[in-house]
Amino acid sequence: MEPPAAASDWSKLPDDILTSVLCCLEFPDLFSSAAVCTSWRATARDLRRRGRIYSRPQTPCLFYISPTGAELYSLAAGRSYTLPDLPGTAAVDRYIWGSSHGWLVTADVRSELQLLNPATGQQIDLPAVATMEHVTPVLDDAGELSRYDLSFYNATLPREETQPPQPYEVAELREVLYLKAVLSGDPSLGDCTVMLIHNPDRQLSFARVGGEQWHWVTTSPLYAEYSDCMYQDFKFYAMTRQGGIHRYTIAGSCASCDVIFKNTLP
Amino acid sequence: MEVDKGKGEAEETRKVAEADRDTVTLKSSDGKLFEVSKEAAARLSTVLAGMIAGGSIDDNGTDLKQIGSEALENVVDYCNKHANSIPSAALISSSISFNTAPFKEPEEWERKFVDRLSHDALFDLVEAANFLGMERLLDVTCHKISEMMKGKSPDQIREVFNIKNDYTKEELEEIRQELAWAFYDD
Repeated sequence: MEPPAAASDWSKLPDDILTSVLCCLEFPDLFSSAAVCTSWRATARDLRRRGRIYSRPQTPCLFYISPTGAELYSLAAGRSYTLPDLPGTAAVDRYIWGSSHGWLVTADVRSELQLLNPATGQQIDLPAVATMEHVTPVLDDAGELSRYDLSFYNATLPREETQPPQPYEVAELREVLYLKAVLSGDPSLGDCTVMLIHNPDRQLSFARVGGEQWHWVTTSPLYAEYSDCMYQDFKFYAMTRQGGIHRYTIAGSCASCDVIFKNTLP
Repeated sequence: MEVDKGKGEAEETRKVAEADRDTVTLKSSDGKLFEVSKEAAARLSTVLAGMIAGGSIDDNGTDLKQIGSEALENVVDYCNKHANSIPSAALISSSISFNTAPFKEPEEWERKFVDRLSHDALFDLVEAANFLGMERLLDVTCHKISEMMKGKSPDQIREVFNIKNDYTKEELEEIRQELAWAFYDD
């Protein structure tokens, strides 16, 4: 049992002290504390605005879809939370292509990608799928998007099509195009780059969060199909299906490649 | 190691020669006097370190008008205990957790030290630690307060800290959206 509370007015706990207290809490408890009273909420809001101060490592959560909707199971709290309703495509109808730094990379029914913070419900749209190298939007007579065409050539130059472009319905493109998305950092804390492994032939494209377009990564003279990717110390490390590791340094719209580890398989 | 030891001894001798006393006397807002290890006070409190270095320590009791006797007693108690405690090899969390917390976890004696405090005493101690610039004690007390919130709903937290729900109906609706996680049905 807690000892009975008495005269001290905890709602008037000095701001900097309450901030230190909140910084000890993981997300579920942070949210509950923020809801206690107006002054605590103000401090918690301020903490969220100042982002970087709150660096509490979080115990992993499991994201899953249940009959009642999208839920997060918090191992720290030992309970599950139902995600609030999201604007746009409901969470249950999205495809999830990545999870980094507490954010999910989701694809909605229009095959557009967005970042979703499942704890706060915050969303950030990524550049339009139509800006990707292999994707061409096809409009109907009324000028409305009717489908996408996907071109088939690999990441070596010059472009050589192995088959004619294939048509995909707007909602269907995401199923064939995307393979995996990796973030360079927490987009709420500043500059963030998304690296995407996508079809055809497991290529790479990247985009800045808040940027206008996807940038295609060509690999000439090498030919590479990527199976995985991670970000470490300001660089992306992409692994090929043949066991090689390529390090990519992003500058503007260019990605320069260093081969860290040669392919081990033919 | 040998060289360091020699240096340390020389340092000790110099210190002892410099200072007549190895304690300082602090006076609470209600006039009570407390003796505290000078070394610990200077090491644990940036404010006291500044006062000691600046020579503004009064042998008859340095006035700390913002701190009541109960809180000051706890501060002094903490400093003296800290002076006598052997620091553990590594301040590693003993709890089963996926993460290392960003702050150093309290040691066992520090945990016990704050666990025995009433809510009021804890409140006064955290304010005193803040006032005196005692980073470590602030960490320990804030950690204790956060432990009191863990796993509780907003209602339960209000109950523990005796805080009134001062939201208007409109605000309550707003935070239901903003802080959806805080509202759940068991």
